[in-house]
Amino acid sequence: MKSGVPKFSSGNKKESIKVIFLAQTFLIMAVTFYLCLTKWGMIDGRYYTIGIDVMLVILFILSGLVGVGSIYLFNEMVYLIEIDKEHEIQKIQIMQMQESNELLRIQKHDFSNNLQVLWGLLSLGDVEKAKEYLNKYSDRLNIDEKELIKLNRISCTYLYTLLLNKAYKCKNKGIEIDYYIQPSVSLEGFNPIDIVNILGNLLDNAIYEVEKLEIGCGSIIVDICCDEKEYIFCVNNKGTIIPEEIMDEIFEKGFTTKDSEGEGLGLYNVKETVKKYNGEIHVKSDACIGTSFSIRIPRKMAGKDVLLKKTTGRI
Amino acid sequence: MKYLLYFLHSWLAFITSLRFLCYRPTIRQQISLTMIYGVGVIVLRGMYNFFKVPFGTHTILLAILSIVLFKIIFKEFNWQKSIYTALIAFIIMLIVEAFAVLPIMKLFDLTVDKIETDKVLNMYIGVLSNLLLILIYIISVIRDLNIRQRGFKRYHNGINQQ
Repeated sequence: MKSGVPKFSSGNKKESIKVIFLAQTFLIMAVTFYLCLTKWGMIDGRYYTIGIDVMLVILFILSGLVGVGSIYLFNEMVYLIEIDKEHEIQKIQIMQMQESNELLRIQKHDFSNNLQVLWGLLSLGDVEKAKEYLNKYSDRLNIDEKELIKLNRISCTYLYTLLLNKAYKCKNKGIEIDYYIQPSVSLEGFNPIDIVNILGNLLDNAIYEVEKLEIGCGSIIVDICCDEKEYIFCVNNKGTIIPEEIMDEIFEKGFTTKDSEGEGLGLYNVKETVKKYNGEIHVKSDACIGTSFSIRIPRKMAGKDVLLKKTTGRI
Repeated sequence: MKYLLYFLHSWLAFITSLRFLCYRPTIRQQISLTMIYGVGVIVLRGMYNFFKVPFGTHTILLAILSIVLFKIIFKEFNWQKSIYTALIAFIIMLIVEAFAVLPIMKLFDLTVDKIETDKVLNMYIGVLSNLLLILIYIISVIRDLNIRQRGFKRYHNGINQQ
């Protein structure tokens, strides 16, 4: 049985808010325009007019409604912003789970191939070679204990999951990745969506470039630290360089060096996110250091998101 | 000539508000909207000769008409979208009237009745009120062209491609 009460989704609420706001704006503009026409005697005797006092009362009532409506609108908008943010975080969680699942699927496939190799070696009676093979394989499966300890310093769950997933991804592709995370660094002030956006895009680009090289020729370093003034995020990939002629264009929307799979939005989104925090992004690329993206964000800007979290909530 | 200006005004107002919302209607939709709304303007402006209603009633009725037209002609629009598209169109028209028409009327001591009865004056005021709409329309066309021209750059094998 259908319920008579219409259910308002978040999309509908946004449209309703637009309608209320525009309707109030239109009515106030129309009344003011009408008042001007009447006061200046531009509506002559041929047309019937409403008295100025009546129009003023109407304008007064409408202004009051606007005031009340604005409080309601503000409330609703803040609530919608919160919901949107929750949805974004859930999307990140789903994306990270999908990435983990994909890694597990690849590892499973890899595992069955390697089991067959082991079975073959054992069938031939070559136990020593089988042991050596097994050692190499299990070494490949596990993330270095030291790296895990470094990752455990991260308080942000989403960033931890992102970096762990990337570590496994690099391990699968035979890419060396090192994390240098300052023990005292706290990323509480950041919106987790922004952190994942920045580091996720930079790491994906680094992995894309390094996997084109021969195994052992490239590596990735991730550095997260902070001092009194700013947070510093650095992603460096050794072995690949960005040509000088495109250095100024890489942050432009739509620009990509990837073939058909590139959308040209990764670095653009990173730049926009960093700009949001009044931060800076620098890129250096040469044969000595490889390519290094470093982001500096003032500490006071990161804290603003914490302030927003504390002030949201219905009035 | 007066009626031609009404149709042009309707077309400009609605096309501008739709472009403002990044929506491009088909030719058929544009024609339907312009013709029906244009006829509505002629009929509702003429109602003051027959009914003793306050001046400005035609604006309210035309707003309601435009909301219904948006809903009927643009199948993908829900009621809320139709309402705020119509409101944007009318707010643009009010802004144009306030900045272009009102000062001229004050300066030359014109009244609504004088404008309605004098054909030349009617034409000038009609063109003036459409000017800002034409300007906004041109800006939105240029904006669309820029977006399409910028397109999608690829850098592949050392060659900039578009």
